[in-house]
Amino acid sequence: MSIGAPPRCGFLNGGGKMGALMRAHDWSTSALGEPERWPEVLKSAVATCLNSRFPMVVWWGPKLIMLYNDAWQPILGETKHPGGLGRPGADSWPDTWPIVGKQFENALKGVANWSEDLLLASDRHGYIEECYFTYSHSPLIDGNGVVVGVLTAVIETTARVLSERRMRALRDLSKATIEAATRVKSIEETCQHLLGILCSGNPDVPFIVQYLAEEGGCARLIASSHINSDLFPSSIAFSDSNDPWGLVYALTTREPRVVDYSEPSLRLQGGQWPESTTQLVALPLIGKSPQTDILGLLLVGVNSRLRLDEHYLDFLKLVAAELAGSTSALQSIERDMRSVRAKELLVRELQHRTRNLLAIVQSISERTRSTCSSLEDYAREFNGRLGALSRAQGLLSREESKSITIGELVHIELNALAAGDLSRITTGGPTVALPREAVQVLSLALHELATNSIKHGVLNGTDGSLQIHWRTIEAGSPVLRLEWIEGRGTVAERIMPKRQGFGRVLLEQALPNQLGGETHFDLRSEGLKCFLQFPLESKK
Amino acid sequence: MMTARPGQSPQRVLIVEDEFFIADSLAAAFSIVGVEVIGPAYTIAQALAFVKAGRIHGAILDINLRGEAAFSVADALSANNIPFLFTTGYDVQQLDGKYQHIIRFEKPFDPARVVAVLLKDMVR
Repeated sequence: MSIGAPPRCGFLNGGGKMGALMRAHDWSTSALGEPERWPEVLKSAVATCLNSRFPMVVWWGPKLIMLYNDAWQPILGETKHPGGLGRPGADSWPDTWPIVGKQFENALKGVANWSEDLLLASDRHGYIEECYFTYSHSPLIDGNGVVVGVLTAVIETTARVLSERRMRALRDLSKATIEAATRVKSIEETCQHLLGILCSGNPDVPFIVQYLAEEGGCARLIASSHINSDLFPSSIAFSDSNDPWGLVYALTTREPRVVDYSEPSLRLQGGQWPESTTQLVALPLIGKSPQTDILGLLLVGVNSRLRLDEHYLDFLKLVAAELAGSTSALQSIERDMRSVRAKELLVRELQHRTRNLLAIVQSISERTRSTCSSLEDYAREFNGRLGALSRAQGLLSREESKSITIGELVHIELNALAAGDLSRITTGGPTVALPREAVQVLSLALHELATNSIKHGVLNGTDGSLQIHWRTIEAGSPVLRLEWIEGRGTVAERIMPKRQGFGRVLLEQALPNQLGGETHFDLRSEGLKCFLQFPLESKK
Repeated sequence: MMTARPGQSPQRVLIVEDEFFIADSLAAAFSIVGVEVIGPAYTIAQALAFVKAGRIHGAILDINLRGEAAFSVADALSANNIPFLFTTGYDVQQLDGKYQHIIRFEKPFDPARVVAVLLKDMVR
């Protein structure tokens, strides 16, 4: 529909929708009066404005009455158009007038103004909105050189400003992630640090909370920034049915969930803006490969001065991807460090045991030397003892969960000697697991007893016998008692060593001292009777 | 080599070591030079009891006793101004700052040498 211009109003012809609106407008009540009587300079300025495709406004006279074109109309939104047409600018722009009013004053004095990406928050769609403009206010001058108004060319740059701001936030986050990876800190500390960087001076993340998925189908709150984290559950189960924040939804569906919040008793702070946050988004943290388990989730407040449009949501998804990457990297670093530490510990422990063992071998060698009369004796006895020590080490290298039993140890030592007639030996007793610290000294003790039986005792003759029996007795805590009884042999001449031999030292000192046990010797004509007993629970 | 001087009560040394044969070698080395051996203590509790009982002039202390660090024993010895040496199966043991100056013998060691070094400390 097009209404023709009244006589002498040709300047209003064309001009798109705003031209039509101006032609149809009832100007009788306006301060400007009927268009045909407008000053020539105003007519030319309005004609230029209406026919420009660049967003333009003519602000006429000291009251700055507003006349604008189609391209500028969206900047007014729904609340100021068309009511603002032909009315003083201050009526339409109460929110921004404190800033732009001053600029108009200068323009009316003949000084042009240039503003780039200036934030002019205003209510265009029913809420205070973050908007950015680049514009120039130029003085409108008549034929006599008098300033009669202001001509403004303006372009809204909100989309570019937001996009640049979000790219910057992502870049800073990514940089901080790389820096954080070089520092040795816990996942919690690092995430806390990254969230702080993300929130700082960023209106698009007024606050944020991070959860980390854990074994057993739950997630734990590990970090938060710019909000009291007590407002949110400290841990959630994937199976929770009560899900006011959309956390369980995001965890189980791996999709973002937008939640409206309007609890009047408890407002959520809006970051930089005085308005409360009334919307939150729960975003899943998913690793790079889609098969990976969910890493956790974010709960982010939405900028109260922006709509959560697709660009905004894309930005939040990129934030989630970045934080998922860093969380996953941190977890893998932590796993590696744990395994390195475990290896170091193992090597140290091995080192300790090896050196202790060498020191023991050295001591045994000295003891053996001091009681041997010839080098041949020394070599035989020392090698025998080294063998027993080595068999004990073999048993001890088993994994911790597999026990070493007394029966096993007895048979290993008897078989190792293989010199005696084993058919003359009877052994018996229940299956009893030995404390690991008892294995070495007990293996040496059994070796000494067996060597002695072969060398001097019943196994040396032709008709002797040997009984080795063991059982456990309860004396508050379990005690193992082992009996070594030589019997009825034609005992060869027994030579008692002058100095206390290695075997006696071992049985009468080492065993009781190291295991907290007791040893009894009874050397009778028919053979040796020996009782060993020691507690089965280690005494630390 | 230092030996006990006639007319004086014999010097007494505490051996703290959880391996019997290592303690035995040390004890033999001390007895050669006429030093009386207290212990050996196989656990931290035993060692602390010996220190508390008193009349000790020096000590040989294994840093690791059945997986436990024996620094509480070192503290007790220091508090009583008793000179002591460490023995250890670890090569790089991060020691508390206050024990960095204490001489350490890495296993296996020559018992006679350990004895000589401790006796030098004891006559100081």
